[in-house]
Amino acid sequence: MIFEELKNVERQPNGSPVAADDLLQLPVFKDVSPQFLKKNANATVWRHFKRGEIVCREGEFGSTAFYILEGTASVQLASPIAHVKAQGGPGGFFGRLTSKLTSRLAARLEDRREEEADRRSIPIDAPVDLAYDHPVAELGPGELFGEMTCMNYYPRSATVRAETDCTMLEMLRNVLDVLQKSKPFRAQLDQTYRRRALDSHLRNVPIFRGLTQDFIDHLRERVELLRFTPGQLICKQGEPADSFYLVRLGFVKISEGYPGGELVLAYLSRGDYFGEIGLLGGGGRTATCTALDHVELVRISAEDFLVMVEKFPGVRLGLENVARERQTANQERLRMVRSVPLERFLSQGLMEAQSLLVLDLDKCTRCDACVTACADSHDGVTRLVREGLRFENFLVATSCRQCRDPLCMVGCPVGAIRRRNSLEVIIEDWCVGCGLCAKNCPYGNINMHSFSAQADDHEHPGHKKAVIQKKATTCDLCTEQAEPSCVYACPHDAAHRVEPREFFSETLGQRVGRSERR
Amino acid sequence: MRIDRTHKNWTVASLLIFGASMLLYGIYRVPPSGAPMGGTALGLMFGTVGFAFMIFAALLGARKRVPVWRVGRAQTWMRGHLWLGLLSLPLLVFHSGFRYGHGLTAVLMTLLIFVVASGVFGAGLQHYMPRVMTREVTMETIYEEIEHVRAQLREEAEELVAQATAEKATAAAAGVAGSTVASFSVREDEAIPLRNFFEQELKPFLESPGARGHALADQAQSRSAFAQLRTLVPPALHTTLEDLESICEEERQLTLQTRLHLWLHGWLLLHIPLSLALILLGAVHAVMALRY
Amino acid sequence: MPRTRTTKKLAQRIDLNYFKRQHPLRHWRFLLSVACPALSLVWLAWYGIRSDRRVYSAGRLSSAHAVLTKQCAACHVTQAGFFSEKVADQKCQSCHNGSIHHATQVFTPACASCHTDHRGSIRLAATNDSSCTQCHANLTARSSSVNFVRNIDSFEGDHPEFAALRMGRGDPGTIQLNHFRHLQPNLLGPNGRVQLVCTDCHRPAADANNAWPYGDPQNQIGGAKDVSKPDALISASSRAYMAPATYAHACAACHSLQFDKRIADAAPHDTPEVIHPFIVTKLQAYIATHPADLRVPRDPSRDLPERSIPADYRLLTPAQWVAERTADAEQLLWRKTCKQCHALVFAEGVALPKIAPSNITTRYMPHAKFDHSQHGLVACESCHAAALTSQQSSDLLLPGIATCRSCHHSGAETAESRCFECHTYHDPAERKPSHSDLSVSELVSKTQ
Repeated sequence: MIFEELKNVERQPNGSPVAADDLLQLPVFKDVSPQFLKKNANATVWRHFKRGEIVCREGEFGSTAFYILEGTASVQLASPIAHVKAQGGPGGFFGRLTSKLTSRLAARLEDRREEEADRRSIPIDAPVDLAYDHPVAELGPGELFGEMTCMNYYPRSATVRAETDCTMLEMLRNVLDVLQKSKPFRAQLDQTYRRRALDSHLRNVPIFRGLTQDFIDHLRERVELLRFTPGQLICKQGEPADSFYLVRLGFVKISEGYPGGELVLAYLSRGDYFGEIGLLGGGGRTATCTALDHVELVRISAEDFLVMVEKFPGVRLGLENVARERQTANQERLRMVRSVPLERFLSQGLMEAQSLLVLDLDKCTRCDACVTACADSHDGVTRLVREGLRFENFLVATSCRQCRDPLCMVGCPVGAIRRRNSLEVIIEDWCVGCGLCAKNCPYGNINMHSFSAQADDHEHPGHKKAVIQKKATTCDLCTEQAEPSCVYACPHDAAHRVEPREFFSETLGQRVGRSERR
Repeated sequence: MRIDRTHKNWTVASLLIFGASMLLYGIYRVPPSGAPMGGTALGLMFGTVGFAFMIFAALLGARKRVPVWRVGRAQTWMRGHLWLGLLSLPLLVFHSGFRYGHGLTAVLMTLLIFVVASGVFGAGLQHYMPRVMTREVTMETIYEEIEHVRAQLREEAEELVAQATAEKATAAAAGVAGSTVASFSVREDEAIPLRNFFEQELKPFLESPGARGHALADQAQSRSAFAQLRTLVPPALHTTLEDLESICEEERQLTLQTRLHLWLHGWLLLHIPLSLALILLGAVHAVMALRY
Repeated sequence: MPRTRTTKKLAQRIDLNYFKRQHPLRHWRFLLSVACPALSLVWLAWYGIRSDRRVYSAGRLSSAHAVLTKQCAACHVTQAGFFSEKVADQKCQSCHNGSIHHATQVFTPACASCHTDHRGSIRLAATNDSSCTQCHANLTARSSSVNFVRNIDSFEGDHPEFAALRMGRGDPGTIQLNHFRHLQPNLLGPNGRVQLVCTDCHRPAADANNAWPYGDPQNQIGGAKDVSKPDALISASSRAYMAPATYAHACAACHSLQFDKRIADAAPHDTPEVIHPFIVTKLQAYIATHPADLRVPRDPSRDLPERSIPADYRLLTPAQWVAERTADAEQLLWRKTCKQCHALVFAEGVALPKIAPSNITTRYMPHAKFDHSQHGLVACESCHAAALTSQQSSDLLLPGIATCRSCHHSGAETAESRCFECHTYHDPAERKPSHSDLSVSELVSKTQ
């Protein structure tokens, strides 16, 4: 028992509020105002867990954080670490002929995808991140988990189970908020973070992978931990760049401004990084970074960075490559954005889309062949719905639009949904099935589907049992096939997957031309 | 399927085949013994090719059941169905030597004419109806889900009316400050016309929109009914009325959609069964005619 | 709050499994798609159960076979080991004797290849030209040479001119008749002036026994023999062909064979061997009853210059008188009367002349049928125009093929011009009577 000050902890009933006096005896609560604690008497409760009991499950929604007083808990991802793979049938003539796709879960070893995040660790809402190949870690006394859930109401990112009998404090947001402002608490959190998570975060950055351990140690003490409130600007496009950031907590919006609006490039979450271009020196920020919610960042200053670059020239090369790629991608995007008048599209959000499934209603006989085909090639579950708003005589079907501003990515507790460089949406192996992305997608394009999978059985260690696992699914553009199934199966030439600006700019151009001639 | 410029290849090929058949038939028209045309070599060729075209046309149904099999795009199959199916009529007429036949062959010729005629009719519908639907039914939904959507519309209407009438009264009575529905400041008695209208006109209409006699089933009448209602209720409820009117419009459009959809798909109930019978009897005819 | 329509709201109204559920349209489509073929099978099975194969028939039977409508097995035979049940030749031959056309023909077509039934109430014998032209368009024979024109494809096309006309030999008949003279008006008839018409001499065989306007009823007994070759087709009841014009029917009334003004009887229309005794007998009978004529006065017109004048009268014996008169009569007959029509041959040292056979052709086209009664509506001279101007018996008065082609050619509103109209493949002489053992009740009730 660390906190000898707390007497008779075991006799405090489970779920009963913690008395303010008891709380004040904990070192972390030292700077907290007693009046506040008294006023919010019910905001913190005792929690006792027996060995093997589940504290919280991944994917569930919650609003509290847990502070471990006694005992150890294991934190892990119980969902199978695998992504939804739609694959062709067995080979041979009949396999190719039928081209039936089955949706199943496939892990990275079996199915390597292009531009998959080469993560070694999965970011979760705890002081430690989980390793990709063995996503289990331990939490001990003095460690806080569930911050994101508590502060930002995101779903639980992992399953926490008591390894020994545990005693924890469960607190609401107001208490945690106050705690985070108190120096001792912050100091403890920072220390824990530096000790447990910073290493893996740094190593997750591809360009830093080759660093030696002593350099990491050197950096560890040099990094700065910063906090931002929702909406706060972190850095502005064009400003001189002088630091590199790692995201520890929360979501950061990276966007580019151009005449006419703003283009969101990415939403970064725990474990992601940005600003490396600024570290190469000379030049300003290429994008604006804003905190979407309560954000905590790790900042590495340019000086420390330059030292690193001198010592490890390979790092510089890697950085330059990244910088070049980003620049070309940016140019491409800006060019696309400027080519077509925007007003008409903004109203329906078509502007945001890079790829639309449009159904020409003048040709469509409403026969549902597209839906049947999509379902047939995706294990009986359709990824498209023949409903939506119309644009001229086209129905914009409900099917992933590969948005430029991917609202689906905001809030993923495990950062599993992200985009590739070509701006397609990819859902990584460690989706826990919380459904937040489905809720966030403004067009209803993401649906949660249940898959049966084998997961470790905790009652019988070493054995697996069948579980129903929900994973998020969305239209995958039938990348396994030469042509999307819906387009292929439409007998009336009504279904098309189009790039909206090109497709509609022609129509608009023609219209304009015609009226002018009159 | 709309028949447009993309069909050029098929049209040209079909015309060529038709022309060649006419030529062949013209040259070898009269069989030596006055025998039925079908039994001559040319007649057998016409019959076989015509039947093959019919079978390909029928396979479209099978193709639609395996939409993801890579056996050719659905459009190619559809175009083939249209043109080869159409061609099967003249070919089989040449096969029969322009004779109607007797017994089985008479039945076959009748079926063929009906099938091709219904197919041409359906193709015409598919040309024309989607545009009509797109234009007339702006609030279109999925046909099979219309009942489901109707149920949701009914709920929505109920809720709108409940919000506007009863809830305000209870909120006022309970005196709860800052209740969640803040925008109404309506007395209960002022909302009575709305509730009456809902009970007497709107609800019956929403429950059975297809039945005759509803004033709201007609757009003009509905507009005037709502206009009248607007004078009877306070301005605060006008948005509710707009919403209700929009719901009525959606209901009417769903009814229209049902009708149009049945037109667009109803002919298949004739075309498909007859064509299956045609193929079956055609196979029997091929066997029996060669037997005898 | 006004209603808003967003994609998400619209999409979330929809149950994602809607397309898998059964819906009335799909339901009915499926039901009907099963019911329709099933019904058609049931319909066929209904016929199958009753063993009625007529549903597969290509058409009604011809009028000749219509009585066999329910007796499919009368013609259709299951070949051993085969699925087919086509018509077999031996079934046709159980009733018909379709005799072979020519012993040297290269192949014999199957009965059904020319005579196809199930085409409705047609004449089964009315075969298409191609049945014939399959050989005759390019005629070859198995062993011998071909005696006919080799390439005939149709009547109006390659069909040659009629053989009789084509040879250019003219009529072989030896009887001299000037049609032109005989068709003049104001001919001297037995009872005044007459105008002859064709039918006064030419009649179909069936009408041969009706009264002849210029025949001699007396002379019909023991009349001229018909010396031309007997023809199977010209029966006594035939109306197709004209009976040969005989002396008794056509000539006797005007062209009398009187040989002596004292004797009323005319000589029989027979050979000289018959006429001679007849004359002698008649003269003998006369002189026996008129002995006064034995005294023959001198005929001054018969006095010849530089000859002695005979006695005023002679007294002859009956035998002498008969001999003299016989010689006179025969002189008249052989040199004038008979000679007017016949060709007589006088041989040296033979008393009686020989009469050449008359060679009257009754059928000019032995390989084709022609029926005058079918053409009864046409005036004789319209086709036999040559008769009006013919002055020689050697003129062949048969109309040429061009005359026939005026009506018999292809097209609508024409007469039949297919081969079968005039020619037959099967020899009608070998026709065998149709016979079958089907009873009325069988024919009417049982469907086989």
